[in-house]
Amino acid sequence: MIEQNLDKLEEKSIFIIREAKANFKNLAALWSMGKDSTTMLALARKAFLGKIPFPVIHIDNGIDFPETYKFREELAKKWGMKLIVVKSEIKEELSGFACCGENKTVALKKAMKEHHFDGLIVSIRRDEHSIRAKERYFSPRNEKFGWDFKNQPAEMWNNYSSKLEDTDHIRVHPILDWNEIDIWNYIKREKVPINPLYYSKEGQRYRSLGCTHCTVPFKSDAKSIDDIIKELQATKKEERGGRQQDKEKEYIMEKLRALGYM
Amino acid sequence: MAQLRECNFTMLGEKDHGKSTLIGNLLIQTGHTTEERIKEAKKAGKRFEPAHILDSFSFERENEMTLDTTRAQLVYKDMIMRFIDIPGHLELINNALSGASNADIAVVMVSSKKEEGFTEQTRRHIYIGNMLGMRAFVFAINKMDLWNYDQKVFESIKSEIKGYLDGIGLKKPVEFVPISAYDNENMAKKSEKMGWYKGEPLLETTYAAAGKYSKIEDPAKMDLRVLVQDSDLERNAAFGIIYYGRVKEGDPVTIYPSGAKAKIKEMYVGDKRTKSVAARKNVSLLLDGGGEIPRGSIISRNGEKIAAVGSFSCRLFITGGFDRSKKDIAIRMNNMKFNVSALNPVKEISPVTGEQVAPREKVLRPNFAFSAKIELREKQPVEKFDDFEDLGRFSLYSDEKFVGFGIVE
Repeated sequence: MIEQNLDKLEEKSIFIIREAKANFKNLAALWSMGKDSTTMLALARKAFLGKIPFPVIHIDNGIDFPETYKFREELAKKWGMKLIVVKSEIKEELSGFACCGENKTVALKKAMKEHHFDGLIVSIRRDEHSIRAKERYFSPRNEKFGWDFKNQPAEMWNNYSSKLEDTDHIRVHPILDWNEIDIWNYIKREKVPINPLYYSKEGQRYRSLGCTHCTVPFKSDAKSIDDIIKELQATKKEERGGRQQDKEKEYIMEKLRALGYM
Repeated sequence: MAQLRECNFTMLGEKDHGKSTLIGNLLIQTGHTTEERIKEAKKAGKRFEPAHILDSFSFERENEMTLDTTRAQLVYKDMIMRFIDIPGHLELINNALSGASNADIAVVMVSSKKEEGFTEQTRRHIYIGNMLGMRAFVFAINKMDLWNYDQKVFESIKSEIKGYLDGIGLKKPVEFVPISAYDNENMAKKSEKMGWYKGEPLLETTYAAAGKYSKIEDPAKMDLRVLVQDSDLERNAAFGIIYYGRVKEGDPVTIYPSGAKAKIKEMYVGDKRTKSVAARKNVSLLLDGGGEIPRGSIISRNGEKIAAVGSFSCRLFITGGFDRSKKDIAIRMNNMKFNVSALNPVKEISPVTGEQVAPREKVLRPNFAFSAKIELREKQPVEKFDDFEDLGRFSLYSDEKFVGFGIVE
């Protein structure tokens, strides 16, 4: 896995986060308590002298891991976050595509409307999925939260999109350029607090965290950040291999994202 | 592990000449894609296309075309080589610009196939690449397999390209490599089918071009330029990025466009106080004096001069035609939006032939270049592109729609 220059990645991410803050009336960020969105929050703190200057949304379907909830409470307090927990109602019969599409996206729409957010920071990365690799740093969403990927706005250099009349909100992707291993190298360098589920317990660990229904751990003895970095340097497997939703049908990510998914 | 060098390469050239195939096969050849991705790309039906590793939308695969830009990276020797794929279609030029603007070196695909060749669109892409400041152009003469790898075909296209480059006055370093992207000839490894070709294969040629021609800036030798993204009047703080030079606590500075003088009282990177910071770091500055510092201001050291404030000469490339007498024209520089009060074209330039004529109409035609004068409604600091790249290039908007880009001359 390719390890990029952390200073350059940080420079661009902080630039983008500062632009997001300056360009929207009501900016918020999604936080799943996973490694990516937690790293993004660490970058935001660096951008604004140690404070996160926007509310942080957790879409809570009630079936996240207990470790995740504990981590949320501890870090939200430590970093002084303005945390908005949005409950999504889980339907037992749904899983994978239907679950992510229905539960997460519907709850997100409700929260965005209620709080009038016009900018939403989302911590996706190009290397996670070839569909996400096609994203812009500032990516408009329409009334239905759809991603009109056939008509993406021009984004030359660091000249990003503004919110226009037919845009509901703009998704901002500050860590789009980062690779999975860059996240871990940065966590190590900056001592970013991390959800303990990433560490091996009884010979298994999680590489990518979703909810308890769709996320599967894999065999690993990585008990520290250094172990995880070593493991990733050697792996040939995809990061989201443990995510059920990505596997169901063809072009599932494209379909999910067209409906407003991250 | 030692830090790898990094360089961004953009593909340029006409649709269907093999840009995505080239990147797809380089990734496979150098082992930079996973079995899972290849398996996923095969889902599209038909035979396996290496291009589908990049072309991930169902629309792209079904229509055998690249709709939007993407990028892929590989490590070769001591360098992370980032390849930016772009669509070749004329009507998708805005998507092409979104990708190409991030690159330092251009890889231009020219298909040797009889009905394809060195097209107008490829010429436009080269013209644009030159404006964007590409340091070098590597021409990949593709589909040589159709000619049984005949040297004469390669030489004839090469001389046609050189004729065009002379016509537009392109003075950047150029390289020519004969390849077959689909058949992996002269890509990552030297081809045995073209013994007459004495140069290096494509991957090595692009790698070497990056090493030889990439721009290296020494902060110690540059004037100070800090872009202000945001400020806080209460704490007299400015948040921004040091684009050029080095700044120290206690430095006396001038802020443009106001011209106000101030002193750097304290500096922070993250929440850590620091005495001296060089480009390119995101900083928070606490100032003594200076008054209100609007977003988009530039902080320089006392005695340093900004190239232009308020009006400047530039070169434009127009992708969407618009009436220049309209009142809603704006430029965006480093994401700061500045309104334009006057846009006066001096010459219209054909990117296909290099021919220059006096502009005839009020409407700036799409797919043409212009040398022009721009006046901003409010004074703003602007630098020449050749001196301070980041502060001398802009996107152009009319009626909130992207209509092209420009560089300050």
